Amino acid sequence: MTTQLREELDALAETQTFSPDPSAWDRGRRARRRARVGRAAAGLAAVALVVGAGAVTLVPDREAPQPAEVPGGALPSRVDLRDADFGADFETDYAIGRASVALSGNGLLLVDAEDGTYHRFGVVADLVALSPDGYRVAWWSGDGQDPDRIHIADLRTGAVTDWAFNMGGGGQVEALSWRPDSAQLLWRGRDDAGDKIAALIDVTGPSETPDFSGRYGSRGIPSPSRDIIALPSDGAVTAAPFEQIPERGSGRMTGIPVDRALPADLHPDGAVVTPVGWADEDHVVAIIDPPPSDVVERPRLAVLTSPDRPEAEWTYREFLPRLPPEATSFAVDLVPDLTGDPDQELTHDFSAFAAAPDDGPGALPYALGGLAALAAGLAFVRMMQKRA
Amino acid sequence: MITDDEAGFAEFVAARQAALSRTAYLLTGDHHLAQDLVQAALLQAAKHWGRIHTSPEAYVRRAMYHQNISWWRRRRVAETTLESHDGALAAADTDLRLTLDQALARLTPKQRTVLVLRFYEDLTETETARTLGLSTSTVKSTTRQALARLRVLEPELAELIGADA
Repeated sequence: MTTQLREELDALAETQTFSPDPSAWDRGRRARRRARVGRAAAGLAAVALVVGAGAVTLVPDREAPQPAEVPGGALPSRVDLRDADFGADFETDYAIGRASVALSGNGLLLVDAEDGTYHRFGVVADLVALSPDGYRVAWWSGDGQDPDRIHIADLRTGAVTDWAFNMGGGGQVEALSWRPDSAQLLWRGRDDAGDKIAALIDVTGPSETPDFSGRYGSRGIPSPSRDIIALPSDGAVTAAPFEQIPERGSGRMTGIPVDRALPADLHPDGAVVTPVGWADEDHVVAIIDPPPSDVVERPRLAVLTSPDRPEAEWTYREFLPRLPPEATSFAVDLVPDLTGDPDQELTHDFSAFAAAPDDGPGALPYALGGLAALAAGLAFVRMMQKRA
Repeated sequence: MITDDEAGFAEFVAARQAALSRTAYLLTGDHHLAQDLVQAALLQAAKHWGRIHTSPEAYVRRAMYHQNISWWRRRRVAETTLESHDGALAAADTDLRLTLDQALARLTPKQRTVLVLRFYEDLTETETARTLGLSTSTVKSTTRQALARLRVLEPELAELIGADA
């Protein structure tokens, strides 16, 4: 059987031969050089910043320049699958530390929160959920390994828990989301009989609390105090939908629909809103996906004030544009507190790097060293540009 | 001036382009997509040539397998569900090869990739699993599902793939 099939496949493949574009080498090497020149230029800019600051202040206790690695981590200023090396071997050790973004697709991709590098694991992840603190990632796949298990990796230790969800009964998982405490994972889906079901897994226990009375079955992500739930929109909307939890004793059994208008100047045709978590009690982080147009392409993240705050306090900041569709889960705890400054950076450009902070004898040697590095770097960039 | 690396890359492409293009076509089922797939994998290989030049083919092939599934996952939101395609094809075309081509096109990329690796690239289940980052049992079950699906889509392929697949 296999011989016949192989022969037919071979014959089928023979019908379709072609020659690759001969410019592949030049384009590949140019891309490599561009990346190097870009990194060098960014480094030079950072070095120049150090030199300038040092020369002007000449004080030893000056503020350190922005480092390449961000202790504690940050969201990256861009998420681009081209930054991942699809030809490299899969990683197997999940102890990568804090992650900022999780991407599903062919393999599980995690973006390192401290240095912005991509870690790729050989698992099929149809659904993926990164905890708000970025230290845990959960995934499930209907056609991958063990569809009756939800996998939860601790990124500090590398330990992976294969959770036999639905009390071991399994089923079809339709959504995974973390509670703001990063300790409880909600899964929602259907059991083998097709009935809707949901449960909350406490990964610190671990234990699973099934949804007996609809407490966990609703869509959306509740705020830390669980006063209000951010809901995904049903198509493009001009206002992000929420549901306010009625007060106890009110007699009301269902949530109260409320919404929060999107900026009409930015999105006159509305946008699809998909909440991904709460940065704090009053600010939700969501993927905003406007309809395709000449000027707007691909979704972006936004942080917006909850509608239960007075309208005078409302803010709306977009960041991390041009998200690939595989980027669905983010460590929202890494979104910094909003200062009200419209120029506040909410992400970090990991392609820029600079000299490490120092406690040396004075600024002058570093200024001179920086100038020397600047000159050498300029020569390097010039050389690379000539080669490109 | 041509460097040693560039010459090595050109030699590799010249020697392996036909084989790579054949595999790419089987993976994608589309001439243009196959060209794009080979091109994307070669671009990545050129970028990382210094690291992979000792065994570039394994790298390029792995890049093709993974890139193809990744592209499909991006495209699949616009595709129709598989269930709507599960009826047998019209028997207008009796050519076995064309029939196989059409039936392969209606498998998922994962099923298709596993079949290509198992029956065209002649990898073992373990090698296929390692290449795709799957468990051996997943490769087994995917192979079984893919062959069974081919039989449902095209009963006349039963002889080719075995009646008990």
